[in-house]
Amino acid sequence: MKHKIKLGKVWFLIIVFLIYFFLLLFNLELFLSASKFFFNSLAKIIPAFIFVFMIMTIINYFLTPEKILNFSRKKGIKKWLFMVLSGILSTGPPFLWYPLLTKLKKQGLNPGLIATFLYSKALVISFLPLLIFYFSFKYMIVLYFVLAIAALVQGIIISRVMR
Amino acid sequence: MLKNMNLKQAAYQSWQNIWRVMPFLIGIVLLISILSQFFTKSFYSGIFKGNIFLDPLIGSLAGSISVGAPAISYILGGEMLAQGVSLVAITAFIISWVSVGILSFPVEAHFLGKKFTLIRNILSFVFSIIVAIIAVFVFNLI
Repeated sequence: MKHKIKLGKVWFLIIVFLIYFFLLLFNLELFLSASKFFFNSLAKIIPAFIFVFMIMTIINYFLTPEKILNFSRKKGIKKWLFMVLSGILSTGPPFLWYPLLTKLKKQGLNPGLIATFLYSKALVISFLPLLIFYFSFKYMIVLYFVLAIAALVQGIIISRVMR
Repeated sequence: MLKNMNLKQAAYQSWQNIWRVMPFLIGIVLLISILSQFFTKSFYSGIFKGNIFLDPLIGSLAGSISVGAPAISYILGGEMLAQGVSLVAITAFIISWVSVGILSFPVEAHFLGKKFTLIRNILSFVFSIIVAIIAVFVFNLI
């Protein structure tokens, strides 16, 4: 499955390069304006990605699946807040976390906590520089705050429904 | 020594995460670069009419059927914002991009169960619209 995803992404890039090649042959004006737009966008994105790399490294260093496993067993509001924080801090797509979440579920973890974790992943902190770059710092703060509350509410609803 | 090794591993893992996303990300930016030459403000205003409820619904639908790293949704959202699309529609789009997984539904259901996945995705879809409206309202207020 992993190889399929990788190959799919490479094929996608090859197809896009082919489109550019045909543009170069048949529509030079569009090729030049699109290329200019591309390099301008890339120049804006690269500095943000340097920050993304730094934040990801710090998070990967401190937040391990074992730590999530331990904290999810705590009692009261702490574990709910920890799941929100873990969701925001966790790196990688949601499907990478399914095996760990399944393990937690089998150990009796409230499904609501799993839902809270997955919903909190809607705003991963590792891509935060990009979010600020495009939408401003104020927007990021407001969105994180509203989203964290929504993740808690969603978790509580699901824990009631799944009971 | 052990700490340094861990830090190295953490950096390597981060690099791999970014590297894995890179072909798709570059491809998307390349595609946007072509499409941006055709899609003008009038194109977007034809889809997003400025309705506070309809715009986030369309944004959320678009995000729900999309896949990829959140970074791609931010880039797409940023370009849409530059073309005059409402912030509430874009917010719903970037939230549902990660939180709703129509295409990844079978995988999630396999691991976490059909009932859980169905309820979670429906709630996430509804929440992406509500969160977008509230977040943009608060954003404009402060």
